[in-house]
Amino acid sequence: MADVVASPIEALPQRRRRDWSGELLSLPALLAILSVMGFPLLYLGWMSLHRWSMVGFEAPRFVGLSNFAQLAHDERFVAALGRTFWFTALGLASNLPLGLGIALLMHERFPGRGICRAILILPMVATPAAMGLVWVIMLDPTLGIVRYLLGVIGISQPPLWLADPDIVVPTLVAVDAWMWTPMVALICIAGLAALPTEPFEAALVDGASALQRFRYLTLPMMLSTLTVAAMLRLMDLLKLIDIVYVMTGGGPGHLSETLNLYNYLAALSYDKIGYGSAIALVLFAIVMACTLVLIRLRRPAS
Amino acid sequence: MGRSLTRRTVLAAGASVPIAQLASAADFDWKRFKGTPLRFMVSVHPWTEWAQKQLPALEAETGIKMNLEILYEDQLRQKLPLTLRSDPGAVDGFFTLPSWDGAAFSRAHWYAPLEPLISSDLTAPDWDFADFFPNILNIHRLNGQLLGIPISTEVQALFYNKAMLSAKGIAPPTTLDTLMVAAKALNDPGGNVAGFVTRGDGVQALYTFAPFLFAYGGRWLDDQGKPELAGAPFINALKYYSDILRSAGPPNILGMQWKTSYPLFQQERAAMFADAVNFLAYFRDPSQSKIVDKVAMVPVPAGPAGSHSTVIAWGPAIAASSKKQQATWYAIQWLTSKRNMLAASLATTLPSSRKSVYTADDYVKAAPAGVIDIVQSQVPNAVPNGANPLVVQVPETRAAIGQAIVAALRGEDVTKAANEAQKQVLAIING
Repeated sequence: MADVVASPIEALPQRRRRDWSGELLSLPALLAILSVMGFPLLYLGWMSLHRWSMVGFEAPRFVGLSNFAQLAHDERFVAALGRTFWFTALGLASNLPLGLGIALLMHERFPGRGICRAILILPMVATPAAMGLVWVIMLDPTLGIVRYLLGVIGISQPPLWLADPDIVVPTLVAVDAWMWTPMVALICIAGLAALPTEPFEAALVDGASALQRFRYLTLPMMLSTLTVAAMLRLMDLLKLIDIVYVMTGGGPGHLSETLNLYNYLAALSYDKIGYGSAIALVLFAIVMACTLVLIRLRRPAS
Repeated sequence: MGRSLTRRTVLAAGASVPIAQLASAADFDWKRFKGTPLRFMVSVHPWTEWAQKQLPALEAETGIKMNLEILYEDQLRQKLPLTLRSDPGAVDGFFTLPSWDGAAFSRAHWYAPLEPLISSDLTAPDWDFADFFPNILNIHRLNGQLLGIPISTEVQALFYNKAMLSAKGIAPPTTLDTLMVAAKALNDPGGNVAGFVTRGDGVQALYTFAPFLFAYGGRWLDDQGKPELAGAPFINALKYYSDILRSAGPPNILGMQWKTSYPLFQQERAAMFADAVNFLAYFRDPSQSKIVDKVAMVPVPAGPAGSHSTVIAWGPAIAASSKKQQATWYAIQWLTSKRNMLAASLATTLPSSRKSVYTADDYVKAAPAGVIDIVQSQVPNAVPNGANPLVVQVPETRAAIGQAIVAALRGEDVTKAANEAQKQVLAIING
């Protein structure tokens, strides 16, 4: 604590005897969190050890770890797992630079900046399901407006978007990026506003170019902000389901199916509650592990 | 067999049949279960919306207080099994679509058989069981027992754009061969018009693929309930389905779901379209359709084994765990009477499961052109519940067979895809 240049409140170190009132006061909240987070997780774990159907002729049967063993041989699961990482990588690679870029633009003073910022968050406030359907209509290779617009600029054979097995994932990532890059931008705008101005003034005096100021000042100082944005997007992307479900249902075939979508289908559509729980636990472990890695990465930066 | 349907009631019912036949309809005691509250769990559907509006009349005429719990279909599929299993007796009646839940629900013994009630004095003499199309009743007849009353019927049709066909001098195709020729002749990729469109998205495409399977003499399952997907009929049908859609379908056929395929036909971007007859409403709607006066229908195309549509139908059923099965039957009986079925068809525009509706002047006047013919001509030869294999694990099975359809549409080896589907479905059924 001592070496941190902290806010004025934290800067008043008055070390007294161990005071437990803080812990005691947070105990009710802690209990509430444990009961709403801990219980479902334990229950999920218990379900994942059973063969369990909601339809009436079979009682839940304890099967140990066989649901997890089965996952390793399930081609659809393995494919969905790899695809989920592909979604996440593409998502992060597009969201972060774009978000930071938009934030840098919005950081500049120009007329209409307030309106631009308001418009910026529109995709984010609309419901993903509704926006997914709108995009399905816009991307329709026969009737969609995207086809028309591409035609105007001379592209007569537009891609098939969601029906093309090779570009269905990037297309979905693009729609996801359209929806969530603004959030990254908002976080970065806040980060930029909080940066000290002195180093930039000094750099100007020293004659640093805009590129140099970005490379040696903005980027390093924004790193912890970007890590927070990356962490939020990482968790969302690993759990991606809504727009995929609405726009392709995981198709063509299973070629755009994410882990979370397969998890949903297995548990609630195919009625394999135990197997679905096992997938959910694996997904939980992956999200948790990735998040912890990012938190560790963030620590030295701060 | 349900708890309240004891041997004694069945015997009593048998003994009273002659009396029931003698008694006139006016003598039937509709108030026998006056004051009985009933709980029904149903899905959002035009018919259940209509039924909800009839509840005051139902109570006035029978004294039964029916509570309709209307859920979205997905929710019903989760809540209903859970309730039937964990709280027997909590639900008296429910809405069922046998092609989807029939195999699972009958294996779990959740349906009360209806024929003992229908043949008893609990059924009004003028209810007229014989008025239902036998093959529509077959939808709700599982393992030889009638388990629900179909309230409407859904067959498929081949829709075509009259103007587009006559411009090229093409007669409405009635066979697989003429459909293929017509589709290729009408296909115009440069003009952004497909010759023929139907579903290509794997899971959804089972429904529209089924008539092609039946046209080649195929079926989903054999008599033992084992999949029959590796045989010649399935492979030939899959070959045909992928050939016609790859050569004359829209470029994005792989992504075609019902919600993306019908707009192509509606906006004159496809000359022909195959799906449920119910889509006619979208094509006749001047606010969204360009083909209001150009749309027409013929039965699904005939192959070597003839023309066979699928036929599916929702309907109310009695929960085997209900302690009020007789009162529940009264409520279902009242809602499915001749008079009310006609009223329901007029209100919902859904084709009925009762023959008498199709000859009623009001309905003949109100029915969209062609619907009566297309239903009546196809129902006798249609395959009840043929929309997918009648198995316990419908969604998972649909996904597995859908993979074969997607593989075929991608131009992969059809025989290999069929064999893989056979293997997968067998594994799913065997659990």
